[in-house]
Amino acid sequence: MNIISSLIRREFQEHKVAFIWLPWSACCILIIFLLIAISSGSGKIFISGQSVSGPDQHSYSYETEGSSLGTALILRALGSLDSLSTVDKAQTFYQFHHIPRVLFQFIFIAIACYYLTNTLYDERADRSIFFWKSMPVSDWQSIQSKLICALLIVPAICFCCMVIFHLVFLTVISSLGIFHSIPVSRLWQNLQLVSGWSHTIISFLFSIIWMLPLYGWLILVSSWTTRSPMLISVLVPGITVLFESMVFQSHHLLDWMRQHLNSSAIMAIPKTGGNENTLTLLSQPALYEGILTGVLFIVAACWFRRKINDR
Amino acid sequence: MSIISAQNLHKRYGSQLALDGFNLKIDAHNIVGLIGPNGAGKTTLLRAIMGLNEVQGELKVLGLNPYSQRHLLMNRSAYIADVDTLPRWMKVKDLIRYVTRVHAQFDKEKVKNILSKTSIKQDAKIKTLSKGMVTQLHLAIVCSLNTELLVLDEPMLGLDIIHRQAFYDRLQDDFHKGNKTILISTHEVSEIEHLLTHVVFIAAGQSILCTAMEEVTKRFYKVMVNDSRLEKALKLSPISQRSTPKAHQLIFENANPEQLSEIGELSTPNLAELFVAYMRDIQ
Repeated sequence: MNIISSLIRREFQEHKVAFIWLPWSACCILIIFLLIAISSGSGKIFISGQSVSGPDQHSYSYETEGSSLGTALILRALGSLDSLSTVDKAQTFYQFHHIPRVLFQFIFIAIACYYLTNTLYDERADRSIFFWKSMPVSDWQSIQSKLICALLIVPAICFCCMVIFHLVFLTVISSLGIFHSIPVSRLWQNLQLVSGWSHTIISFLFSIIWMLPLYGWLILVSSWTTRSPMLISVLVPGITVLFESMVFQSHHLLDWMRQHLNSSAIMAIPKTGGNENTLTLLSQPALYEGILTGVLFIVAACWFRRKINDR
Repeated sequence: MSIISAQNLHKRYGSQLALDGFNLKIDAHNIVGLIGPNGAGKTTLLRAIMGLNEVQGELKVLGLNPYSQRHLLMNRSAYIADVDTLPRWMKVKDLIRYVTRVHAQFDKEKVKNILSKTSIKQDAKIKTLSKGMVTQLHLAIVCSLNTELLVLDEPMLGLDIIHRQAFYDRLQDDFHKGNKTILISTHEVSEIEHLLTHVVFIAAGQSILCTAMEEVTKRFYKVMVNDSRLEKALKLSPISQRSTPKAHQLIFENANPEQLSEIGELSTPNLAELFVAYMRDIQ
């Protein structure tokens, strides 16, 4: 365990920018946009609904995707929470969780893909692999630490960034409400923060498992390619798909790849909510095919890392 | 007990044979010099010994299969490859911290002590160090690993003579204090000659000489012969002949020293002369 934690620490030192600065920067940029939007009233934000009545008995329309955000509008929206229908409330608070979740999920997938594509290749390119291999660390331990970083710790950091963004967002809105003597307790009651966050965790975990063949493939390419891992990781499946369609007139591989890279499948759990949906997704054979393929790719990557000095 | 035991090692890269039936046996507490021309198979052999290359044949290092048990072997051995391999993005102190955490035999105080005598700052990033300083740092780390086996492949690349001498002194000191076995490959033959207990010549992937340094003085003779006695000397079958403007230098193996002293000035060849003699013999 000490070795794995040392290896993880080493990976963090090497990829500080991607692992730490990138998610935190995204979080800070979002917060800055939020503050600008609130202060200028010109931003777009994900409060949605059809029609709500404000404290001045006027009706305010909100676009489904978003609406202009300003202090006045927030105050009116806060005051009219009770008059929203249950469906509109659910829709509004769903957007509150869903949009940052999708954004940070995209960030962690991008970081994981970039990191896994380059990590083993870079060690060989700068020849530091000879130093790492002169230490009592097995190839499996090295790959394990890289997978833990990309598929557990980076998502965890992105999750923390999302939570911080939520809390800052809510604190700003609540402060505005309190300052203008509008009760904000209803807002906090309706948000279902814990449930929303636990759905996010499930969504992150499910997307990691669902996309395991992609992550496995990227670390496999990184373990053996002698040039441009990014290009090779795209070219090899691309050529294989082309070959299959030209020679066999079929597109099984393309369908399979689409299935595992399909964003609606990745986001499926939080969108539909409940545990039943989770069970449905867990009962899909494609999930287990994907896990098996991903594991096989990872085992192959381990074999190549051990073998690679023979070149 | 043998620290390294290699029998009939073969390694091929495409059409090129890097190791061709190589045999080697190294016992504990020796300093062995591995000497060979470029492309002789030195690096391939040392990487095989450290478990970085898979080779055909029987190879045991500290009783382990180096390829399949590399991580166990590295607990008991230390290795420097023939190229600059330290991670350039790391800071010196982070590198020391990393080795401290993963290597149970690492003496942190010793490395700090060695580095305190150099101009290497612990806060410096490795990429800001000169080539010689990177080598010094790597040698300091490797010398601070209290392992049974130390394998060095061209460790002095980029080091000036002062630091090379300091390294040899430290190596000798460590060797006499502990129960260490050292296998060192270098082209600086004359600099390490006095350190060695054994020498191995390698050429075309084969071991062409493997002997104790004591044996070298008993087994090989150098005779400087003038023109008038050259013909007589050649009849005694020297393993090599090299002509200089003043005299002819002939190297003999297992010859009668009394007989040799009659034909010219007799002395013991140094390793460089012996190596050149062997290489000429092969070519």
